[in-house]
Amino acid sequence: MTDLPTALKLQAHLDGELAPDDAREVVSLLQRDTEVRALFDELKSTRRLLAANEPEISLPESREFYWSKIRRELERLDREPPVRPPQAWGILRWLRLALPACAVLVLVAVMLHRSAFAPGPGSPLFAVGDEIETPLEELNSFTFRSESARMTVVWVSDTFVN
Amino acid sequence: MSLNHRPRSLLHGLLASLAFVLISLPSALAATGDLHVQAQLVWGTDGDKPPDPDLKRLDEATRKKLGSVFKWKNYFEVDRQNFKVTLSTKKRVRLSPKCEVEVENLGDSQVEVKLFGEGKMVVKKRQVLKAGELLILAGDDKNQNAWFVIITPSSR
Repeated sequence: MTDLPTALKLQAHLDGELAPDDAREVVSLLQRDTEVRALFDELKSTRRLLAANEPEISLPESREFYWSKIRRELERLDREPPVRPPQAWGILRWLRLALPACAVLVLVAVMLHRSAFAPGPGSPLFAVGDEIETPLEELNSFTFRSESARMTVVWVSDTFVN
Repeated sequence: MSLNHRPRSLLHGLLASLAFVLISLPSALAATGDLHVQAQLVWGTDGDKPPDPDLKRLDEATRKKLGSVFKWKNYFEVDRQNFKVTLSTKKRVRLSPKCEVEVENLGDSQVEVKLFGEGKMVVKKRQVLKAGELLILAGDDKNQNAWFVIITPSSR
């Protein structure tokens, strides 16, 4: 298989871009190597096909007028302020008002339900969650609550109080 | 400031004022003031009334409450103290030569109760103390008996 530098030299030779010494070397190679020759023929036929079939687009107006229209349009766009989608702008304005209002509502909800977060005597969390401390290492204590008697009891393994 | 911004600034100001009021209102309401407390030292036993003349039979309502939870047949009041605890202060009272109790008024009917036996803190408990509620600190005593320190809100 022909390597890339050789293929590039073949393409340059086909385009007439090689120096005379390099061109002679390529011609010599084409005579010696059939694989290189086949690749060169393929490149040559591709070039011919492209040259024969390249579409030619003709402008209905002069070249200067065509490009001047593009320039004028670019200048007009530069002068105009950036346009935001009206729907997105509306949502942003609404959010600027709604966010502080929501924050206040959350604050109100927390204030009004403070008793729910701080369990009272009637709450089953009360007996469990309330702070109880028995600093003496030799003592144990436990808490229980009787809802019917409305009584919270802390039982201590201590006999020297009385 | 442009005229277009004035209503929005007014709204923000109103919201900020409302938030301030809502934050400060509970604190103001929490300052409910003094708390009147009753502390009783009670002895529970299955035996008869000891000869000690200072021991009194426990009032019927409290006895029934204790009887619904505990096993002892008889309950005798060793001492009773009624006292007032102003907001954010504490009051320590002696119920027997060995037993003292300290009540701190934390506001909003919440108290911190510390029980001392022979001068050493035995237990500390925080509790919301409302009418009809009993906080009992209790333990075993000699000869299958028990002691109870009953903390209740009192009506002055």
